Order: sequence, then C-alpha cells, then structure tokens
Amino acid sequence: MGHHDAAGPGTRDRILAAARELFARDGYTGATVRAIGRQSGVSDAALYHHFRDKRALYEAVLAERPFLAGSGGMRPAGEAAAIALAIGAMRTWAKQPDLTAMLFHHGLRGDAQTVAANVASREDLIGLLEPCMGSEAAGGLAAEAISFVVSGLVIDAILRCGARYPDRALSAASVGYVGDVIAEVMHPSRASAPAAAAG
Amino acid sequence: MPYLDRDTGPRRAAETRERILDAALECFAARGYEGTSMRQLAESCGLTDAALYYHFESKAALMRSLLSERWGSIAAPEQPSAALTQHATLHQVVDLILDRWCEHAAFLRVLAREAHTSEFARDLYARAADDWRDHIGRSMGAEITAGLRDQAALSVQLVLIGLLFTGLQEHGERFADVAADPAFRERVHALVGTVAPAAGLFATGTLA
Repeated sequence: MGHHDAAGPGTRDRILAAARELFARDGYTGATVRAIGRQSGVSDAALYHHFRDKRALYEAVLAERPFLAGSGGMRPAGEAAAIALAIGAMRTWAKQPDLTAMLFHHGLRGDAQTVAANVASREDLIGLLEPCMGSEAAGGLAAEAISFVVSGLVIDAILRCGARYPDRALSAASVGYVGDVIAEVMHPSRASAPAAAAG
Repeated sequence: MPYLDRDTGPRRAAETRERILDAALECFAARGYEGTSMRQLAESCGLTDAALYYHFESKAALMRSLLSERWGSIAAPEQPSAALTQHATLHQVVDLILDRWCEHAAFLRVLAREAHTSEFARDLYARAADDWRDHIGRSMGAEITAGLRDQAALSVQLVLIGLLFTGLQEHGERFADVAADPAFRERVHALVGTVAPAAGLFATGTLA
C-alpha cells in the first residue's frame, strides 16, 4: 500500500481532487490532463493508469455527484425540515462555487452528461422535499416549485456575480426569503390573511 | 447613425450593421464566442474583413454592441397596451415574458454564456431580470400588501429563471418550441400559482 503506490486508491483520490479544482477553475476546455497531473503530483503514466483521457477524468468528477443535496440521514417532515433541506442544498453547492458555476455554464453549452448531472441534482432535491410537503396530492407540485425557486435563486446569483455567487445566494436576506417562500407554499392562507383583511 | 458612408448611404450602412449583428448572434449561439473568428463572421455576411472591421473594430466590440443593442429584445415590453396594464393577470404577464424568451432563446443563451467571463454581460442580465420582476409585480393588484407583492414577484421571477435556464440546458435552442407548447404553459402557471398563491388571489384581472 502506501502513499507512493501509483495504482493505490489514495492516488486516484488525489488525481480526482486536482481534476475537480482545475475543471472548476479553467472549465472543461481550459483544463489539461498535464496540469491535473502536475497539480496532483502524479506522473503522466500513473495518471493514465487510472484515467484514459480528459473526458474520463471529467466523468469521474461528475460521478462523485458533489452537487447532490443529500439528506444527511434524517427523516424529514414539515416546514422546518423543508427549509433546512433547501438551505442545505444551497450550502452544499456553495462549498464549491467555482464548480457549481462551471457546471451551469458547461450545461448551457449543451454537454449531455453535465446537463444530466444538473437535472439529477434538482430531482434529488425534489425527492427530498416531497415527503416534507404534507398534502400528498399537491406535494409533488409544491416540491417542484420550491426546487425551481432554489435553482432560480442560485442561477440568478451566478449570472449576476459569477463564482462569488454565494455572497448573494446565501445572504441573510436570501436565506430568510427561502424560509418565507416555503412557508407561503405550505400554508398559503396564513400569509394571505392580513392582505385580505386590509383589502 | 453617427457615421455616413457616402457611397452606400447611411441606411445601407445601418442595414449592413444589423446584418452583421444577426450573423454574429447565430455564430455565437452555435459555436460560442471563442469558437467564432472575425474572418468566419465576414464570410457568413458576404463581407470583406475590411468592411467588417469598418463597422466593428474587434470581436469584443462586436459582442458588446450585440449584447447592448439586442438587450431590449428580452426586456419586458416597456409600454404594454392600455388594456393589458389595466387588466393583465399574472398569467398573461408570465406568458408575455415567456413569448419574449421563446423569440430570443439564442440571445439568452449567448448572454448567459458570456456572463461567465464578462461583467458587462452580468450587468445586462441583472437589468433584464430586475425588469422582469417589476413587470410581474405590477401585474398584481393594489389589494395585496407591498411586502407580500415583493415576495410573490421575486418567487415568480425565480421560478421562471429556473425554468428558463434549466430548459436552455436541456433543450438548447429547441427550448423555444418546448416553451411555446400549451402543456408547458399550463405547468408554468401551476408552478407560479404554487409559489405565489396570494398573487393569484389578488391579481388585478380576477378582481376587475
């Protein structure tokens, strides 16, 4: 075993970490296999032992699914859980803002696997939100609507701020807003009542 | 136009300029900014390199003109008809915005891709997005409280932006066909009604 075994699992992880970083920084087109090898401190031969080419490296990064929200093992129900899931997903993506922005832009170029990864990340969030929604009949639509608010918020922030997007998407106002909108979706009458009285 | 081409006349020069912008939009949408050369652009317009450079000093200047001059095409209509201002429901305004997006899907894709590297494109996007939100907010009646209206307008705007850019990823330019489908519109209306139930309740149209 050991650190310097070119075929060992540690080497593969180190290459993947470097690949994630360089794809995020330079984009798919800008990143090179050589630079990824240099960054991970692995020889070209060792790198090619694990990954056939740049495409294989990129697919391995996507296969790690770093963009999936993940439920963290909890069995969520109710409004508070839905808010925690939505904010949690935004925080997960924001941990690697360059990668999130890169996946958005590479998807916009029509790269099929990137698009599939982005779709999977939104569907993952819908699947986690759905059981929190209460009413089974409207749960699917409500979960989908919230997922579009969340992805719209992140995409809007990426388009306005680039990789500095978490400053905007996870600002106190933004986080407060996500809580309010989930409350509004789950209990519409509550928020509307004062307006109806005023009218 | 600030310049006059004495041989061809100002109108002709303006037409050529528009023709170049049309071709540039098509090339940038298909091959991206990096993948398009000034030489290819000149060829696709049937112009010499010199003629192209007469209108635009560089590819960067061309992109800048394209974004700023065509930006208005994705903004919400500035002067909707009187009937629309008075009685537009939220769904009508949403449809109006979607119609614009369908018509200018290629431009939206170029703008979003350019935003990756250009602050200029990011500012233009921000102006368009703010504009969409204003129009959505104005479609709601005065009966809704200001706080609730702002939140509802933001929610509708974000749902639309989420739909637009995931749609552009999944369908590319065919997004225009997908988004014109009545079934798609119905789904959008349902999503919008879900995130902004109060907006639907107090839309001007339903109270008129």
